Amino acid sequence: MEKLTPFFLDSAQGKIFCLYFPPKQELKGAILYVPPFLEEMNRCRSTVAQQAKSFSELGFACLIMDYYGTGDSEGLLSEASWEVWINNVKDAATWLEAKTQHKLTLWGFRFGALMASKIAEGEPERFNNLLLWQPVLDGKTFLTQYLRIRVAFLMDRELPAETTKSIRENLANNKSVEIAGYELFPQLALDIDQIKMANLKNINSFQIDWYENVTEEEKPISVASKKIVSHLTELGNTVDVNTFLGPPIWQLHERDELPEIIRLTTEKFQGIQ
Amino acid sequence: MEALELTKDLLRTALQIGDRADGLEADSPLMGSFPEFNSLTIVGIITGIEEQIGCEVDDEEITEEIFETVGTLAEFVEEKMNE
Repeated sequence: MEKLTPFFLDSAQGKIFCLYFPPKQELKGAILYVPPFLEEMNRCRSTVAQQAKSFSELGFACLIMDYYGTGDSEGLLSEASWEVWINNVKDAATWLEAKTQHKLTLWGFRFGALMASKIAEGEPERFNNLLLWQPVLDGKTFLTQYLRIRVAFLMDRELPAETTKSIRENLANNKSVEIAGYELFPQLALDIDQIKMANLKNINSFQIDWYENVTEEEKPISVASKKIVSHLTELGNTVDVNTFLGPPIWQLHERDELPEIIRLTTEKFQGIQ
Repeated sequence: MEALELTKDLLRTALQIGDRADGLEADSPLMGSFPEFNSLTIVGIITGIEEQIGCEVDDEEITEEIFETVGTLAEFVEEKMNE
């Protein structure tokens, strides 16, 4: 039986790190993971690895990757852009398609969900399923939340205050900014600012499995998410909305686990023959 | 949900303090009192407020004053709920 295989894949700009989870029984399908943004990616690593292992035990081939300039991939973040990362995902998809001869499910987590939905829109014939975990809906809102880490950091240290507006102005003037130990470069930030799920058009007949964190059982998904789900449904996609309880691991400093989302997702994929 | 309860809930999640959040009172100090309280906590709480209430928080509204105590934060949450 094939083993868990780490390897480097030639991609746009340079080599990216991949981890392949081969199916542990007869192949049912193939799933490509599209990761969150920077530190969120690291915080989610353990939960993602557990889910990938569950997929492989169910008979799905699963490939996990790091974007260029992040994680264990080659390159510097300064050389990364939205376009480079899109190409990384597409190159990983080509590898997994060749390996399995299956149409892929794109499994996007947070920022990765935004990216996966844009990739799906660009090549609707190529993919037919989206698995979205706690999707980032709007690049601009997401970037604002990210820039706030710097605003809060400066406040916490009683350093001269900045606002997300002033940081955006610096980025627009081609100045990079340091946020939580990462140097954020203007091009990447400006790219992210433009991407919105609400602008998706050329995506239909997709099966979309949506998982969103709630603080109490029976609580609905957020108002903003509801709008996007309606939008995607109106475009002709089937959206299956699920909620899960547990800590928001992507934003927590201390590492934590999300057994609930793994249980729900695994149950869902168990039903796929 | 009442503002104070929602505030405790946000703190429970952002500070990862579990049941310790139940013991928080309006006059419990926040910033400077919790070793866990850092810039990420602030971002987590603000994001939580926006998502739970469905409002927007401007940068100018994020001040040290609202993070002084559980009560000051709850007052801010209440303001956003009533907007």
